[in-house]
Amino acid sequence: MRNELATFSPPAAGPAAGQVSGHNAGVRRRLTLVGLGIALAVTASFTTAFTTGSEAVTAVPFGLFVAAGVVAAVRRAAVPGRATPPRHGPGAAAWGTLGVMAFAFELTNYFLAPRAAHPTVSYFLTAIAGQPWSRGALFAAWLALGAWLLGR
Amino acid sequence: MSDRLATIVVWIALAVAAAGLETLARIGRRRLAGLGEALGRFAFLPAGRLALALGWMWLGWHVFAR
Repeated sequence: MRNELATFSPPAAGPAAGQVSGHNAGVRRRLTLVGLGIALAVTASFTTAFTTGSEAVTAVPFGLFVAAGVVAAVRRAAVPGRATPPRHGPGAAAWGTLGVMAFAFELTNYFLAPRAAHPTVSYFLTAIAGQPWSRGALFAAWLALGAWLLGR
Repeated sequence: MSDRLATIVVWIALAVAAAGLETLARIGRRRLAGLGEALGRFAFLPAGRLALALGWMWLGWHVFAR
């Protein structure tokens, strides 16, 4: 009995060891992904459109996005009784109206010529992506948008 | 006013409207959804998620690869 008491140690206060290692693994995975994103954005800043390099550096996030999307979809399907759909308030209607207006204006400009006189969103984005530093920043923003979408 | 300038002015007006909506959503008393929340509602549906994913992929390929 005395030996049992001597070897008994009360559980430590705070999170269990498994929770801490799981949290650390999550942080490590997130840091790895951020590092990979930065590396891809820097690589993309050195490429130009219509080259094998630009296609390759864009295809890497495509592959990761599709793989992560499939995993997320499988996990989502495994959880029964998902939350009820969110209500559509006035904000959603306003954003929808603005989106439809922007899309209609984009289409109008797309079919009008010359393009320089009727610039589309692509026209501006292509101009921004023409410089190495802004191309890298735009690529990083695109990756962040993809990561945000995966979290939905 | 040239066509180019008029087009750019409309794009700026749309961007200002979007920034105004987002600002209202963040600081306004009325509970307006921000862009992220509105997209999140759209992404609740599987078709919405698929549309957003395809849009994201198209955008990347269009701007950076082709």
